[in-house]
Amino acid sequence: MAIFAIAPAYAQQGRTLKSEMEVIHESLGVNFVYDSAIEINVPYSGKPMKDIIKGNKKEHSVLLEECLQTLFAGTGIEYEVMKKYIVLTQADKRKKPKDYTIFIEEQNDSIPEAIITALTSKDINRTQTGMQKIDGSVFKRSFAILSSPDVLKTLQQLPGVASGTELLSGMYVRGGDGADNLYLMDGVPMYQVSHLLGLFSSFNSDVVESVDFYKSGFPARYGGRMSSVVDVKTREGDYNDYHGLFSIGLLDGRFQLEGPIWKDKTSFNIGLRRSWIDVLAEPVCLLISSLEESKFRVKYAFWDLNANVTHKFSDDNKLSLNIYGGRDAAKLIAGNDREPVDTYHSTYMTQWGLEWGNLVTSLDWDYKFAPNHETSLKAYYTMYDSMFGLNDEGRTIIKDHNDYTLISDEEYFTSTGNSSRTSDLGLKADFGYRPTENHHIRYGTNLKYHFYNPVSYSVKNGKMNGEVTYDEDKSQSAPRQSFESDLYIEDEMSLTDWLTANVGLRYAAIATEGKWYHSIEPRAALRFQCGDYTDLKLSYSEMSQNSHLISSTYIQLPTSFWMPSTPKIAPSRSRQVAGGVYVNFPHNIKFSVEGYYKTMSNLLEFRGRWGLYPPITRWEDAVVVGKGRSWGAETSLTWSDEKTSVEAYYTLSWSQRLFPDFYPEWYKDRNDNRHKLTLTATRRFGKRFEMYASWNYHSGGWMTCESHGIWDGELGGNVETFYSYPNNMKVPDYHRLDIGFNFHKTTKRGNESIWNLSLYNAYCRMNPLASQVEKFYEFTEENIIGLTYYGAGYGIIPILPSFSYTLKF
Amino acid sequence: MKNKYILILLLALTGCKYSFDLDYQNAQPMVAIKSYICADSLVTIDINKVVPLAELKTTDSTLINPHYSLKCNGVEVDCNELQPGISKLSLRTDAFKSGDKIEIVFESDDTETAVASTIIPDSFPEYELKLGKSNNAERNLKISYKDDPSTDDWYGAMVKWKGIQGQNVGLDEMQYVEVTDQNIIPPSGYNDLQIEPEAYTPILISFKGEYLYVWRDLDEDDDEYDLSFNYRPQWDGGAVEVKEPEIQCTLFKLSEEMYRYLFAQFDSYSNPFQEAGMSSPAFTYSNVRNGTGYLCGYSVVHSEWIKDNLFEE
Repeated sequence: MAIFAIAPAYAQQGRTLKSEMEVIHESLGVNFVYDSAIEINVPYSGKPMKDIIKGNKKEHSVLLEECLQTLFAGTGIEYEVMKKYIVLTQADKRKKPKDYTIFIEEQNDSIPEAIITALTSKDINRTQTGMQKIDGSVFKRSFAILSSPDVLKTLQQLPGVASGTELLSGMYVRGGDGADNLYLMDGVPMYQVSHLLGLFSSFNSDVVESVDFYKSGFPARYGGRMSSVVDVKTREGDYNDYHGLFSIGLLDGRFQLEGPIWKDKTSFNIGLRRSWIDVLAEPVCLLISSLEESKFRVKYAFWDLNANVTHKFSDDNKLSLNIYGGRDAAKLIAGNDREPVDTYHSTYMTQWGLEWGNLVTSLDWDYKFAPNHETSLKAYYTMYDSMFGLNDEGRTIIKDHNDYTLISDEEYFTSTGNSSRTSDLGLKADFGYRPTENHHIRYGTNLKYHFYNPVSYSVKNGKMNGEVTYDEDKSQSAPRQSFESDLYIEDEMSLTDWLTANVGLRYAAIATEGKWYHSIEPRAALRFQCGDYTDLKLSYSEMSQNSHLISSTYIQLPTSFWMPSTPKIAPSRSRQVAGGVYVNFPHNIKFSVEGYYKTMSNLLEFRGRWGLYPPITRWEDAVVVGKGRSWGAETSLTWSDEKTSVEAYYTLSWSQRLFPDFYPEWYKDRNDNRHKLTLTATRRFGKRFEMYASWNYHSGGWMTCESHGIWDGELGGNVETFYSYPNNMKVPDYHRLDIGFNFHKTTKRGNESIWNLSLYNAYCRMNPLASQVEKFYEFTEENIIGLTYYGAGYGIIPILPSFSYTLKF
Repeated sequence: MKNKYILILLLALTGCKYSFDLDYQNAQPMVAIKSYICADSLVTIDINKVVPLAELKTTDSTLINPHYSLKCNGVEVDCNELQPGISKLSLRTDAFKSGDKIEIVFESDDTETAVASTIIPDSFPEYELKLGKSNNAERNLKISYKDDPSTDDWYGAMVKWKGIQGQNVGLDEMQYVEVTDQNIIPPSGYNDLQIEPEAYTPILISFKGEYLYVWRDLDEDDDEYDLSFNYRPQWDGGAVEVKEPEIQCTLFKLSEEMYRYLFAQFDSYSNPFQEAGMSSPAFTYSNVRNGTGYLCGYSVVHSEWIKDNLFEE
């Protein structure tokens, strides 16, 4: 593979692909990056590029797209636009590049890492099993179900990822629990990544550069969670031009702007989102309030902001500041607002509030000491806080009927709830070193200070005729801290033409309440190239987790809080072996099948008897410790051409738990979804219209219900019931169809605009949020015929239509 | 008014309610075994055939051709059989001792072979009892004992009283009756029992109709524990008149299975999310393989009766 930045035009006799590429390079300021095996010195007889470009006032990106489409149509060459680079690859994946690493080093090329990654990022070229790289452009092209394209919704469709059901949704990767995914925003951990209880994720796709998603074969540079890594990188702004987009949808609005602060030196990129749901709900609330002479308000809103400022001292020396802030807030206010009636006047007000949010900041310095030695230093702060509260207050005044003298004046006020704040202050140093062409050694360290501060409060007071009758304050907090340090080293190596490996070791230590836990985590991934079409991969990895989510229910509510491992609660640990076959067939058909076996120890389950509020000070008493194991096979089949892409993912999996406090043998995990199938199709009709459809299916989850009984046969008589084992009842299967339509248009000023219409849950399948067992007696006037038990499911997410209008500029 | 909003909310949720057939994945009739085995006491083991709820009206709950094997430390034990109902079998046998490993294997023609086992724990360690006044002028019963730090242990305690109780039988006329083995009613719950050093929070559970505190030791090196039980007896406050009251503490040592079963019972009384499948399965426990129920062991010691004359004038 060779990488060329097109030099000034050579004199050519006739027109060739190469000569036309030079025209594009000179006129539109882009460079081509391509494999040396790609034949570009071939005659070109299509419409000359200069004719397309000359006098054309279209937007730069639109014009570039038109040129590239025209130039490479029918050539067997695929292109991908990455900033000012056009990455060319063979459409026929059998002709795959093999020597790209060598050339990059020989040329000492300063082409950004993202471009190199793009060239090497085809699934088949990666060493890791269970790794998926999603480029930010995918989100730009993907469909805006529920107003905006979503990173987590995209990941949830992948094989091996259980999504749960709405409001209980999350990422349950290969038998994991949902709190064991490492979410990184520009390398900084995030403790919570959902808006609207899981319907939206915190990652704004407008600013996402790429997402690396690992389910197994974790490189040693990642650690701290057991099940998966979601490494989201945001984009630097353009150093030369101002771009952006504006989007307004039914549920939210988005604005993104990027450009130079100091041309070619400093850039910025800002993305902002805010939901409108509170605005839409306001008229309904006003109507109810006016009809009922009451105060009634329901408010929900979320917003998030991403900002990046990067300064390039040189091509090898860069400093960037990243900031993410996001917040959700829900509020319900209900009370009466009536005029006093004669001698009696009563008022009350109930306020219920729910709030959570993240703040993530980092300062990064990337520096290349030598052509083969780079470093990245990062100082960061990440914070997640949440609040849940309920206030009740009221006053009742009673006067005498005759003389209106005061008989009683009673007031009360109660306020209960909890809040929590989890924050990390960290320093990170990562180094990369390429001693020879066959080795890429990465090593580094990470020092983190964790602060946890859950608080619960219960304040009650009351007055009678102005005198205090009771006054209680049972507020408590349980701040904890822990210190964590990691060291890692890994080597991405090419051992032979057909064997590459990524072998590494990670050491993690945590100091918590005077106790040290140490963890040594070996990581290894091997890739065997079996000819030009097929790869075999194997991996083994161990991961540990020192932070635990303490949650009283499976609903992801802000009542949950994070806590560190303690002398009573040891860190969780997972071990996973995975292997797979990855094949590129002709006609751009890709197929892969991957199997895995994973064990997990020191898993926590919460005892639910504390209701919504987990105990703050004695939370260790509220959890029990157990083990987990999961295994399965994941298949992926994709096909695409210029207009159509079809993807099918199928997962066959098992997930089990062993908690001796509940049952002495292995039992099904609640997310033991035996089958999972995702079918997606995208089709472009002409230049202006695209359609998208996605059908998601997975076998129902499991819940624990009374399953057996003895009935004495009497109407209303005693039924003694028993539980056979935990998670013994299967809830109905989950399935959902999403449909989306994009209408592209170019405005008079040459800007691209997109109208998007989408239907979430298009056939209104009421997937149950909760289920339970109910019973009824069947009887005649004389006799009892029988007693029947049945399941009752409660679904709350119907069909959700939405639209959005996006204008790119 | 407030209820109206709750009603609107409920309607919004229940508006999407629908029914479906229970899917217990081919659940079959199974055996339920229930027994608390107390060291040095006669043993009763109840065995039932239980059927899937969806088949309650159609499936025969008769135990067909039952076979069982009860072993103590690997040696078969003779039992007397009582069959109070066609779906129930009760086994009676002589007392077992602390340290005995008890195992039962039960099968019938249409159930899988169910197996359960437990070890009868040794007795509660040496202890001291002291009855005094608490800071807020209530009674304080202090129990001090030494735990073996090398083993995981599970404990229980209940406090009883006896005395001569006066009852109103007419105007200004009292009748005095001697009562014994009455439970002290905990004034507020499990918080009334404090454990030093801080072990796992105790729970309060109804065991055979009586209040029982249950707790476990720490996994650390602490071996000396002080339990402090603050209570106000029923006769304080004048509702009941009791003369010459005395109290007694019954101290339990539990098998791990019994601790877990009682904890699950405690959880099931107060877990608001269990029926909707939104919480962990902590409200259920069984140690019967291929069946359901519990086979648990425990041992008890009773303290001397202590005279309660703290507040006599």
